[in-house]
Amino acid sequence: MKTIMKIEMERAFKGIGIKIALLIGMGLSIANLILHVIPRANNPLVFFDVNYQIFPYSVFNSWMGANSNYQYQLFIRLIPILVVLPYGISYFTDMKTGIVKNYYSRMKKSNYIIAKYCAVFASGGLVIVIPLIFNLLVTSAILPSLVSANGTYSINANGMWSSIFYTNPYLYITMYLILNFIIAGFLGCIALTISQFVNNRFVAMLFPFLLCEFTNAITRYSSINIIKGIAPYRIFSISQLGFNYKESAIIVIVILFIVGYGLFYFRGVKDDTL
Amino acid sequence: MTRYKKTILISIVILLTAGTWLVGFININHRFPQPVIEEYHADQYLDYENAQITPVQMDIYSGAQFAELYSAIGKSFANQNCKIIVAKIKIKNNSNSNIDSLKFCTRSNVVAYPIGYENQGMLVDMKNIYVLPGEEKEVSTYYAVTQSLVSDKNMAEFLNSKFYMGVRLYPVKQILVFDNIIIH
Repeated sequence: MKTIMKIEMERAFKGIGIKIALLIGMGLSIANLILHVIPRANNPLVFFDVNYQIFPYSVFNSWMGANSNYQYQLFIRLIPILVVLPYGISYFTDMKTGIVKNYYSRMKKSNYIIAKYCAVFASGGLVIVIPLIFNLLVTSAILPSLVSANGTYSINANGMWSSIFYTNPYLYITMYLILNFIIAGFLGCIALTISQFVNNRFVAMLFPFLLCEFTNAITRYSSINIIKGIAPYRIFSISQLGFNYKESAIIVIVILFIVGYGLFYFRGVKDDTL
Repeated sequence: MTRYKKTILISIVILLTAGTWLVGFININHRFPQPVIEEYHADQYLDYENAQITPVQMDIYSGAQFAELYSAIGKSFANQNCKIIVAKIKIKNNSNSNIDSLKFCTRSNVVAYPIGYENQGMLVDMKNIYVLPGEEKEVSTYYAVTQSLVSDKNMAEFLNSKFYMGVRLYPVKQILVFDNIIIH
């Protein structure tokens, strides 16, 4: 198990896919820094004289995850593609090229399946959080870490973990990054499951994106807030412009895990390959 | 390049980056430190321009209760599933000219901490907005707490929050803290 895990992780993290995904994510992160953060860092007190209620610009209303600017919106929309790019369709290619036969003849099927799942999960999760962490670190080095409920922060009393945000904003961001990592990781693994049913790599690669856009579209029509909160563009949003709900996050994680891992594992183990 | 040299090179790059970040982080937070908090409770007066202000009491009503008590301004809340906060403060005018209490109202906000409710309010009595020279006057302001700001699910946490009126935020955070909160 240890050997196959190491091989799969190396394949995931040394491939071209992860480099492309990180390039796109970092590109958006750097664009955000240049267009939004650095101008604010030049003069954090720009609005200060106008109104007593305005704070200097701070990390928590300036970094990428706190904004609704197009870089972050685009990043959120691209998440379903970015998570698949590193290693999401590797099961499909392994099957097509026959590499899988080499593995299956040397080890238990379940070991390969679990290692594959872990590698896709880890690589998918990391390509999402690395650009955000980079943006947060740079922003925190050039803007002060101040927070106060004065209307300039998008998280209000209905927002998930709002009490944590206003008492310990870095803890809030850490918790949200972990949540993003988990959901992004599971989302990437959906491509693995789809690989077992389709014959075209692009279908497998684009399925999570289509699934997310479909969910974004249909959940808008629900009158139940928790269902609305399932929309990926909301659940990934750290700024919570539309409120997020813990229940929505739990539902998404459970569904993605059952569909992603459950189906992939059982079908993968059951299928005859050799 | 040997593997050993590569590891050393990567370690140096990581250390330099971490060091640069740490210097930046310490520097910016030294230049803009956390605000010093000054809390003013009942009968403790905050100097604000030519006036002195102290918190008195805070009442939290349902929309229907508020509409019944303040019919002139509260009609629109009568059938809404919401709460209305009425904050009472005393303003003492120490100057020779009238003080516009509306100006104070628009420059302050009510906050429920730590849940993050924040809103700017309006005067309950818009016909009598001036505080005359030498006069000390009780002024009431109201703040809507609609479902989009605090839903029923979060109401219990909201009602258990610390309520204050933010007057100045930085570099000294001056807040009027309401200890006397009556939930109707």
